[in-house]
Amino acid sequence: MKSINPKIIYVLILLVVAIPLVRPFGLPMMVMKPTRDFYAVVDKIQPGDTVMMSWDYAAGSDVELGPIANSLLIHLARKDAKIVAVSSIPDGPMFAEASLKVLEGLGKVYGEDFVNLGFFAGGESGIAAWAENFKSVFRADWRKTPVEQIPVLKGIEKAQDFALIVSMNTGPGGYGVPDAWVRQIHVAEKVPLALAVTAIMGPQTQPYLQSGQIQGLLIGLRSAAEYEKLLENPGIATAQMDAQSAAHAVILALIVIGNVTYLLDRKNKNKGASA
Amino acid sequence: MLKRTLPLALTVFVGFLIVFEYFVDIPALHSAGSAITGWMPLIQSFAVVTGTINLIAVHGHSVRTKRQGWYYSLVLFVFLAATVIVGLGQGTTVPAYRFLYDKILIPCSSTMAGMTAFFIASASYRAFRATNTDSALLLISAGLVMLGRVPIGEFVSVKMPDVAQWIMDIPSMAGQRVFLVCAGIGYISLCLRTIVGINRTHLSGNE
Amino acid sequence: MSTSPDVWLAAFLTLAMFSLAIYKENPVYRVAEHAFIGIGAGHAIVTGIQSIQTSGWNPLVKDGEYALIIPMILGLLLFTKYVKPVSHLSRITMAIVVATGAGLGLRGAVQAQLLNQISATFLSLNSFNNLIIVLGFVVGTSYFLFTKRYTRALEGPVGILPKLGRWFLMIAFGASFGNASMGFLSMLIGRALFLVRDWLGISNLF
Repeated sequence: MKSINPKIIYVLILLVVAIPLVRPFGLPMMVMKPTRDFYAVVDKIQPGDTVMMSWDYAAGSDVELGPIANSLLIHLARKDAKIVAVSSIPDGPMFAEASLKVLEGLGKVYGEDFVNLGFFAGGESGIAAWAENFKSVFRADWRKTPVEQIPVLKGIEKAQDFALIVSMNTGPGGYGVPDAWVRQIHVAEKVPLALAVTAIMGPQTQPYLQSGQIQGLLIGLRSAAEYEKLLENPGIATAQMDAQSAAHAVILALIVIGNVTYLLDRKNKNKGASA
Repeated sequence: MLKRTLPLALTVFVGFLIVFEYFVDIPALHSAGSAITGWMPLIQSFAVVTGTINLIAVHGHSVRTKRQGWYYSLVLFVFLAATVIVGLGQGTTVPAYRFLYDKILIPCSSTMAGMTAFFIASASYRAFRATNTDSALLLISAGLVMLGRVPIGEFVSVKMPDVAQWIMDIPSMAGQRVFLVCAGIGYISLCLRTIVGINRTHLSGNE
Repeated sequence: MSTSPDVWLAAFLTLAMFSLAIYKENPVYRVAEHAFIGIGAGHAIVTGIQSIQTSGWNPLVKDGEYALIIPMILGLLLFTKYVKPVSHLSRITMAIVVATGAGLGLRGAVQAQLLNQISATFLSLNSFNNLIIVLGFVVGTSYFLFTKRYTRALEGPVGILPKLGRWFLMIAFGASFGNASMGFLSMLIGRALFLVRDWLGISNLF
């Protein structure tokens, strides 16, 4: 049987994702337990607690992790937590800067309520270094203000001074991979750690959640949309879920067509062989 | 001596120091270990810069020898130079830098990543076949997860998200743990081999 | 439709990149590709130099933290890799960096990836899910026994164990594929959203 030209599939997929973005269907979506658990972990943060968020992703993962970052920032702002942004990859600070605008919109003040410390090199070694001596690694923020002049960093000397550390992580290719965060933050420093990872990284990060080495795990756009629902603040992730539905329906249909074609071909071949 | 023995001796010494200072409570050892660990972000900042040298060398050679498509390499240098000049001269928060990053790098980089979806869709049609029990299990698991993780799955059956979550939380998690532990054993043995000086790949080349 | 030149540029570049898959490799695509690689490399250089400035040069020169001269020299030695007569000097830095990474990794991995994972697996067998987790891990691990002494022990009726293990691994791969497709589609949706909402302005979404 003649197979479909791949370029037709490419155009089909592009059209299928575009249609729900033009006219959304508004399909309902339930919130799953892992997202509720993550929400509960953030909800336990007390006013004045300092939370570190690490933007460990680049442009390709911004669609999935950007909405998670925004939701977490809104949630933490509602809890009156102080936020310290860092990045283990050079691209991270650019996305942190963009996300932190959410806090400015909520009336939070740069330097007093939150700060972007930018990139730290070294991946796992870098994490281990600041976990033990924070200011030996971070001496100025991304805007080049010395850390001594930044009020939100008062009293922050090591990883244990954070109530929670969240890495929004793109996985391999990055410098501080999820395994490195678990090894250096959970195992070595015993500081509560939560991860938000891309959908691709989700399954391989799950054993850390079940073993209790991370406090929470958010996986890709679905978790981002669920978190927006919990915050009662539907945003960009929720808006994209219909496109996900449509695209997956097409992919599943392609799998079915591929398998039916394969079975028919095999049947015909067997018939030909027996004739 | 300087070419091989010293680096090897340093590997063994530093490796053991970092491991021991964590488990043995000797303040001097701990201070030394902390100091070396503390150097890493600074040293590896240099590595971030040197990481681009190969790229520059390859494209520089292409321009010098006027190889086919050399003008594309020139485009690369123009944008590289613009980024470095603006970034180091004015900082990374100025509009000019954000323009280069947000309006050129992000659209290109994320479209490049997004195009993988085309290949996934095409592969689903061409290669995702239930030819035996193994591939059937893979296909069923993938299909249920795909359906259960998007709202249309819930539209088909309200149980679908729970089914997908169960697959991810229980049988898939058990399988992923096998990979994690096996990779962990491999990683631990690699670290050990490096520390005791058996693995010397980081000392090879540059003769 | 947007009237912003910035949005038009980003839309043009998005379409230029798409042209690789939908049409074929072409000069517009290659210019866009080289431009973004150039900016990416430039950004790495800028970030690296900024990091050296703030955590090395400034404290060393302005604050007199002379101990930083050691990592600064070690960092500079990395550049010798590209200077043939002294290229071996970069190995000194590589030795320290790799050994530190190995030491840090070793002391964390034993607990994070071995002990804690194993102790989290052997749950009391009082529920179906626990049983699946224990069984999945045991049979899955048996699939990775390649040493003859053990593979010989897995012959005969117990030969079902690695086979069963492979089934669990297939389920894990399937879940990974399902998630991967969702991840890659998210990236595509992000670009499609930009085109229909920000550029064409025909989206009903906010």
